[in-house]
Amino acid sequence: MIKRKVLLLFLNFTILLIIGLIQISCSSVISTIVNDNQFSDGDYFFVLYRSNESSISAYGVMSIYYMSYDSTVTGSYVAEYNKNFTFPVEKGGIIGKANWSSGEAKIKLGTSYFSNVEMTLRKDIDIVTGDWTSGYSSGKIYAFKKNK
Amino acid sequence: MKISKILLVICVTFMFITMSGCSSMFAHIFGKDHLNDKKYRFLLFDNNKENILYGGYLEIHSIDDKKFSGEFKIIDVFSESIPIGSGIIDGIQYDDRDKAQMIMKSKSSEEKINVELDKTWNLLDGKWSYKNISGKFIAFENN
Repeated sequence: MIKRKVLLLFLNFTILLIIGLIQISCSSVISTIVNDNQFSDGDYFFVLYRSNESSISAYGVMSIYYMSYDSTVTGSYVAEYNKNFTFPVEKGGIIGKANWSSGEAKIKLGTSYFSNVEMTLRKDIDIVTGDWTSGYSSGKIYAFKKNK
Repeated sequence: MKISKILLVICVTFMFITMSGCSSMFAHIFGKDHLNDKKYRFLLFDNNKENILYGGYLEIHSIDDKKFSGEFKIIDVFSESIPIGSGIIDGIQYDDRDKAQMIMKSKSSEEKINVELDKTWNLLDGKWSYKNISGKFIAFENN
């Protein structure tokens, strides 16, 4: 009788252990897919909002290139709309570094004369979000792949 | 016997922890929470997807199995083609819960914008149309 109980408990334990292991492997695979925090190269449409303002401060297109050998992010941007000189210059370059382990890329936008627009970008599934500062202004940025 | 019981308790606890993690992940993927009762910022693009025509806020208040409703307000106006300032939203989620349709009706007139959503993840992505004009529609969570 005792032997049977022990056997049943052992069987329960084994079944639950197998279920647990399947779930762990399953969730790790899914989290790898979902938490892929590295955004890809390409043209992104971006929109900037100033803190505490409801209306759009700037929008345009930025082309981002990522060089994996040294984690450099380069590219260019064009601001189609630029309220109150959110960008000191409406067309310029992008330079920065990605740190995918923390899920972020920090970039500067501008020219060799003006490069005071700084952004921290993070991938959030279908959208790239982040924070920006330009002189005394700051706010949120939202960007999404242009060809989508 | 005691050891077996302890092992069983540990195992059940462990199973519940992994199950809760796993189910939330699956729910996120397979659409139980696709349309959230949240505030979004939205953008209406022109047909060439080059310029923003309108921008504003929308808020989804209630979602049942199929229908949802809410409110919207247009804040940024870069075009004069749609005479709508603010209003209410009525929508239907399709059986494929990634997709939805919604109507943005004006508060003050009979004017309305139709929106077909192909994606209702963290990004609401689709097409808008008003009379004979149309373009890309995008809305994202207002963090």
